Amino acid sequence: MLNLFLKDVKAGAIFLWAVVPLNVVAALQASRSGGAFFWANLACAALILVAVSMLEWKNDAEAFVHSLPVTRAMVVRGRYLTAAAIGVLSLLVGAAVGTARALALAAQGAPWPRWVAGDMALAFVLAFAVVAAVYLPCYFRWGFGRGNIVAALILAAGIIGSALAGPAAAGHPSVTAEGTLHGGVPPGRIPQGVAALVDRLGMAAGAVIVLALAAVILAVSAQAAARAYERQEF
Amino acid sequence: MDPILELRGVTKHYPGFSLRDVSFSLPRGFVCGLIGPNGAGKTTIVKLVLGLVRPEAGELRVCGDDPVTAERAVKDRIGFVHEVPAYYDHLRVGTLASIVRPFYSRWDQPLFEALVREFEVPAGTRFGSLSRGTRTKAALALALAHHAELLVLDEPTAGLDPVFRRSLLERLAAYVGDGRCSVLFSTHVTGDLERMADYVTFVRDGRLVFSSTREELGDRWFVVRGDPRLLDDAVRRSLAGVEIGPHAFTGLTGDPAAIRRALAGHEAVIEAATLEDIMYYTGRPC
Repeated sequence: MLNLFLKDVKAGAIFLWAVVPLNVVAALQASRSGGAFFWANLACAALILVAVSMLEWKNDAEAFVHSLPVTRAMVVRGRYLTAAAIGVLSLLVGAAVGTARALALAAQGAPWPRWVAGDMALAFVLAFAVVAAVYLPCYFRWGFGRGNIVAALILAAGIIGSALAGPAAAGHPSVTAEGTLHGGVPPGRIPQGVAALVDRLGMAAGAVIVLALAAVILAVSAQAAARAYERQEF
Repeated sequence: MDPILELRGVTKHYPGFSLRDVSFSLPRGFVCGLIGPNGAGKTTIVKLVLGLVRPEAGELRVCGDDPVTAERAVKDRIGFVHEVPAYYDHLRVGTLASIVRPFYSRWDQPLFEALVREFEVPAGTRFGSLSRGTRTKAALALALAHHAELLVLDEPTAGLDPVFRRSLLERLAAYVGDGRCSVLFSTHVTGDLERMADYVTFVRDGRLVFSSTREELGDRWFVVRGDPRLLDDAVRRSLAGVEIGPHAFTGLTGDPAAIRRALAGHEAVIEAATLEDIMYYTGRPC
């Protein structure tokens, strides 16, 4: 599994480097809207996950990968490890870039922005876990082309369903009815929900719950992906 | 003899194509040529051996193990060269080797470097920039560098210049020379097999036509040429894929004694068939 992860790192290095410039762009955008940074950081991580997965498809290298001494289950676990690494890398780069941007804003007399905080890091972990948990089983079941479409449809349906279910800001005092505030908690059920959870239970308990939830989501997703991939032929 | 590869009644269905009840074996220390026209099922057999597809019936053993249940152990002992080697085009050959190396328990880096030098593969060049022939050479270096017991080659000589093709065949002959390793060589270029194959397995329309040693083939199959007026029922019954020209007929026989009897006293040429003759005439309607 570690070898498959290292394969992804070496083959996808070109995309992994893109984390830095993409986050810088996101941080510059964040001066206009606090929510933009969170979601741009997440989109950047998702983009890199898709790009790394694209490499085998683009190069027609699946036969090569499966001629190596690996099982299909190992390939799936390796890609989940890669996804986890992309999430952590994006989070770290995002935190560094976001902190630098926040310090620059603070130097101009602005208050420390709400979107650079521990609970937003947790929200990022949970949101990326959801994205990876939807995307990877689709990729392993339908391949890169159809899998991307199905995953995009599922995620879009989730976002639309969430928006239709009620105002994103429900119950959290730091967000206005418009849902987006400069320096406020980013809009969306996950950042809002995590912020509310941490407010209620404290950072430590909130972190345990959010990380456990992310782990469970990814574990269930990995099981589904492995089952789907076991039936694939190349 | 200890078979390194054994298929017994292997069946695999696809929409529009089925590989049915294929059985053959390859002992250690030999080269087996897998021949057949396009769409015959050669690549399906290669994929079955590599575990890329799973059989629906029958039994498959590679190095004594089932490639489905002992997938890792089996693949650790197989070297594979695809017809069109596809890795990551943006990576250099040396980087590809660094990716492949940790997967194999018996990877031999000095051997890989020696092979790359011998095959004149530029290790610092991106794989996608290499010519087709050089890609195949790089794939061969990767496949040979982990001391595979079974080398599976899918049309490996396509795109190779004649000089390297000849040296590759010599290398493969040396590779099986220790009696431990074997080669499964799927190809359309039957001339390569005439030079080096110990066994020939012929598939057509998803079915096994024959699998036997090259010597047995030489003893069994003959091309017959003669005056078309000699083509009576007895002669026709002994021939496959008869071609009738204005001055002569040509056909393939697997029963030289019968054809000699039928043509006794007449002028006809009976000569050993090449693999290409066998493929061609057995694929023609009678």
